[in-house]
Amino acid sequence: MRLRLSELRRPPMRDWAVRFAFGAGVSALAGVVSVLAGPRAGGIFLAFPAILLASVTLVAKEEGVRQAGQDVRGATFGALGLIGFAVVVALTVTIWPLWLSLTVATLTWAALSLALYATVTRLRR
Amino acid sequence: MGEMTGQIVEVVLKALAGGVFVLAFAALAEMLTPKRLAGVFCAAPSVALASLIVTAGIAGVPDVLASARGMQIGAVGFTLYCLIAVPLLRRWGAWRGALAALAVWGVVVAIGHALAPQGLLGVRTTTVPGSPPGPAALDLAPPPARPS
Repeated sequence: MRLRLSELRRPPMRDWAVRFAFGAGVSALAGVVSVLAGPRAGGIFLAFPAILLASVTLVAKEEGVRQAGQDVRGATFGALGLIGFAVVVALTVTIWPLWLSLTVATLTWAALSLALYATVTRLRR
Repeated sequence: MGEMTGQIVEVVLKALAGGVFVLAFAALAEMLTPKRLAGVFCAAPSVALASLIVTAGIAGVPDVLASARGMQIGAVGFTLYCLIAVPLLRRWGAWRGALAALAVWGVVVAIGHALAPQGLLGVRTTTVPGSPPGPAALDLAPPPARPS
């Protein structure tokens, strides 16, 4: 795996604006639900697949439905990682400082989703 | 500041933070090679991180804990959404397939919200053997002392 800064210039500004709008929209939705129905109900929307929905429709338009399907397949591993993220936060947030709990939860998400992705990809070959 | 104003400020802060975190994870996904990993980042905890940080700052840790328990249910729904969406995209196209799969997410989280009040772990860790089933049996708090 590598990081290339030059790749950031590739997507048009409109794509970044759409992503920001979807992120802000879902977060606002989760916030409103939390205010109206309590934090547990609001928490459900922290794993609402809106970003994937936005990405799938953008990718399908630019690269076809087949590639969009590939992204959804990849997102399955990310979603499994999200379960790990939420479990780690629930287990640690009352006993650890918030920053540590969220850092470990994010690392758990990354490790779990990338490990599952690598394992399934290897098994398919 | 009134309660209503405070709630509006909380929602606006969550929206701004959510947008910024989604952009940050999208930038990371863009920079990352191989590109086939981009799908994994479509399910990154960007909105969750933003929202939980704002929640902790305004409402405190108990609300973060409750949000994380709710998120466990949402994430199970997200996983099933992905599994259902792949064949639906092929059959019905991007928009219709993705929206139809969203119904699955809705059903899963509605059932999960009703059946797992303490999240995924609460069902296992807080059930007291021999106690009657139902929400009271799932409560973490000890039962009130009976007057002798």
